[in-house]
Amino acid sequence: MDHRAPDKTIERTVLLVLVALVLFASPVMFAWAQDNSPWYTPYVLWAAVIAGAALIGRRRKDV
Amino acid sequence: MFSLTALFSAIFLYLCLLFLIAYATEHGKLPAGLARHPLTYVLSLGVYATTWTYYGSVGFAASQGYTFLTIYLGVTIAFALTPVLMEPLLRLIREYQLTSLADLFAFRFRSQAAGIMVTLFMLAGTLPYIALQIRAVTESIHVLTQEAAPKALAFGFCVVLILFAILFGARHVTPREKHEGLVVAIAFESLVKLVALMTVGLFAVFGVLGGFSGVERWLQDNPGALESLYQPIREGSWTTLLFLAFGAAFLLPRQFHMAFTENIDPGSLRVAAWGFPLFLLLLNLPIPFILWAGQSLSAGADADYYVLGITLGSGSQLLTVFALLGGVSAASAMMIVTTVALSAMALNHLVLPASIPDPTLNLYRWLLWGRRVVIAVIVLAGYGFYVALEHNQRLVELGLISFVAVAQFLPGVVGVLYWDNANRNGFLAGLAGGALLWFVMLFVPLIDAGAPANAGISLQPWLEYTGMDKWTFVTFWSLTVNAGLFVLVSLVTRQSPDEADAASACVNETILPRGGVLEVGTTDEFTEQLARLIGDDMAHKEVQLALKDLGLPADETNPSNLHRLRDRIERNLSGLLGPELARSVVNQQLRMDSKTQNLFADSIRIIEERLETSQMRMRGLLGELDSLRRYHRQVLEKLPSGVCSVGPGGEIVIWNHAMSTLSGVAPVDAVGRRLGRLPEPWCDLLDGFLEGEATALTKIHAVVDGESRWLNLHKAYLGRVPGVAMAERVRESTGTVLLVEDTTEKHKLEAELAHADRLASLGRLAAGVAHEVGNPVTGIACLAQNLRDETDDPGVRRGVGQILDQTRRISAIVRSLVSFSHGGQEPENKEPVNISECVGEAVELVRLSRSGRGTDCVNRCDSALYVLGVRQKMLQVFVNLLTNACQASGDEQPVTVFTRGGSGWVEICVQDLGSGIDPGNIEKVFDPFFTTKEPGEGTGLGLPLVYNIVKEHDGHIDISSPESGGTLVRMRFREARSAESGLSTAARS
Repeated sequence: MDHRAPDKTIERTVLLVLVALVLFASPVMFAWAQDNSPWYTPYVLWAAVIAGAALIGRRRKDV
Repeated sequence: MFSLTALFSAIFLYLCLLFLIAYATEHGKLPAGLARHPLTYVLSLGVYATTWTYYGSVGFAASQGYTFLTIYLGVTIAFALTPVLMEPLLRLIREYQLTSLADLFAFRFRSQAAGIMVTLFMLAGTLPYIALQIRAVTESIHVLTQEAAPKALAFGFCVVLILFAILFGARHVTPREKHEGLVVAIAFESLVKLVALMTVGLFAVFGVLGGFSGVERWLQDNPGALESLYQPIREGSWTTLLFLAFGAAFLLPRQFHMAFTENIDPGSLRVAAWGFPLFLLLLNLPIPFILWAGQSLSAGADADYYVLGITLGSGSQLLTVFALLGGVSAASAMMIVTTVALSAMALNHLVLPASIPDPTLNLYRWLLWGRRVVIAVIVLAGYGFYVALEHNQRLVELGLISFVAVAQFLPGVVGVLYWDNANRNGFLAGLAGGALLWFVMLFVPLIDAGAPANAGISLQPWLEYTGMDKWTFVTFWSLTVNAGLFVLVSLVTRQSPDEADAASACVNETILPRGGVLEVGTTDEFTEQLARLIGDDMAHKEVQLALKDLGLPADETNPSNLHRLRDRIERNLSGLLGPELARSVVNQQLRMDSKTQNLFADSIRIIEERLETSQMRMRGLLGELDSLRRYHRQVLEKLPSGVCSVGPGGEIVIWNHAMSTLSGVAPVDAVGRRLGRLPEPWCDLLDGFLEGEATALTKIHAVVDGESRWLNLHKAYLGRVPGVAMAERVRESTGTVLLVEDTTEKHKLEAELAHADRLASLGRLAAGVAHEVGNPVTGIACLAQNLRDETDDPGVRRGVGQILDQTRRISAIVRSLVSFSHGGQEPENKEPVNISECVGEAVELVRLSRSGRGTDCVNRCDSALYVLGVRQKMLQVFVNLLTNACQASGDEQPVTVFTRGGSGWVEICVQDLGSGIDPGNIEKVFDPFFTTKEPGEGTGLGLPLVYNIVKEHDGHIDISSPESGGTLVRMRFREARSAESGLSTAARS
């Protein structure tokens, strides 16, 4: 019997995509897309999603 | 201003460098690991960023603010879904040797029409994109030279790209062999455009805007700049573009080709999940600065070309040319990869179905040249589109038309991966509906002379009514119609069985072989049959390749393995000819006997293989079920009786370890084979039993490897297994299970018992005879002695003497009979008997006899060995054996008695070098009254008596006589140990 902890990659992936959708495809956009927001705001959010994807990749157990 | 010639020369030299890199990679001049490196893979995916990104993003940002980022954020989301989207697709594509999206749909929906439709739609959707690249290159030259770039320049550019695509993108015909040169060259192009755009961005910040503090100042002076970036996010078509980019990330032909078809190492996809979005982020980081620099300089040029425009004032021609080459690399990479990808689709789904080449031709060469011609035709068609196109659309417009086109494949892809009830009718109906709307609303206005205005007019009332922008409107309605028809038609129409298999392969990662039993039975027949359609050379190579892939020998005949070989050949051919044509070739030439049921063994094997190698870790109830399956499998394997399960088609499904040991046929050779094709005696034995009506047969005699074996056979019919996909096709029964029990040892034991019983009967008979005969003989002897005493007549006395001799002889026989009749009874008063002493005494006694006088008896027994027994009886054993040995030996042939001791047992051997025993008599020597001596010389009770005494002492005796002569009698007794007597141990110490 395999007693290793289950790989939660899929759960993490879905969570990350949900976060990305909340940030970039929901009314939450209006919060960061203000005229007085710094120019780099979308880039920072984008980089955060990329960092999340990289983190998921590093924690995968089936490598 | 730059001269046209100088720029053309720079472009030409750059393309030569590209040739050089591809050539060096293909010929091993660059490090071998370069093409396989995940970074190279990530950069090669950068082919996504075309001139639209390189030039058009600034123009897009100028008009739509940060909305331009959606084109890359959508890709980021798609790649974040790598474990659930990209990896399953890659596995499917590699497993079934698919080369394009058209192959994928043709495979899944088992429809050539799907392949044709996808190819035609992809061509129509991509041509504007190719035209866009040519236009971007010529217009960028125009920006720098202020001269209208001649059509000849654009044509020359196209010709060079055709050459490159042919030389490095169409070197191999099979997707198994990757175009490493192409991959490295495209990665290099991505690096060039990234560095070029970053350099221009740095120039914008430090050369134009005065550093980051200057940027801040400029933004303070121009408060509308940031507002114009953020406002469109809140108002524009942000979500629609995000969705379109999501689809384009893996559905655009160039993306599909680089991500899946040219993927060398599947592990690279995990790095690309974050590496590729990071590349896109870096590529887009300079865009706002370039835009602001252009606006601050009032560069005048179209914002689409600010990347070049701002560098003109730098005074550095090198920077400007570098910026131009960045654009050229973006255009050339896109055109090369797109045409290579489209050529494979067009060849497999348009050219080959229309005209299968003559099998006498070299098909590999034909395919290679066919692909090369198609590449040229596609690039030239793109050029034709560029020439015919009105040049008043923004770069973004042309790109988005292609994005909406490929988005029409999204419902199909979802169906492929997650909906096994989707069918070809639904897919074709949905795609036709979506494509029609796309064509009417986006493509027709593009080729129409007064396109944009007319298009605006025609769509305007609808846009005003719905409040949507054009892209949202077209995307929404085309995809709604597409997905709606797809679902609706799939629900109301039925899947074909083939399609259901393919659906199972895509959704559950399992595919079951169909169609019954193969008509061809050898690999040579495979080659011969295939050669009729694809030629001798190709047929031979493909069969050998498939055998190598599966690790099978060239003379393989196992039907199950031949089935696998057929599947592998179909997959390999799929990479060359497309899935539908490959299936057609294999179905036509490697026919299945449709009257026969499926090979059930194959179904079982494939399911078990899938379960063993499944990438997915089973959890919860599924995991418990798998553990249960393994347990049951182990029970079957370890069962001490032979188990053989036979499928409904007569082929062996299970052949357990005991069956393998008993028959000498390994499971790998048995499974999948028909019972009738097993070696003798199993074929007749098992096949006959299977066909017969009896459900059990006992004591069946069979000769296995020259040895007699007795077997019990049992059989039971299996019912249908409910809920198992494979059983759905086998409506009646899933076969029969045979149990083979080896009863040889039991049979031998029974024979020994029968023998002992026979001896006991004879013993009782002998006792009776001895009793009945003994008394009259005693009377005769007394009377004879009286007669001898009463007469002096010498004649009478001689006669009486003879009577007394004969009565003594009768008495001796009677004594023997009495001794024999006592055999088998539990002896009393057992005591430790020293073997050496006992043998020594026996030797002395035998020497006194007539036969023992001339023979040398040698006692080599270990004096320390004891056995528990009755001394007189043991002496009788040795006397009998030595007497027999002496009688069989000549004067110069000594008889030797020796012992061998072990842990708890003693072996005593009596060996002579005499005449030996005839092999036919060996088994009879222990039978009472059997003798080879002359009548009157032996009673035939000597050895039976020995046998009885040995058995009384819980011993074992066997007798052997080698062909070279002589006899060896071996007896084995338990050693008398200290626990019983203490003597053996004491003697040794």
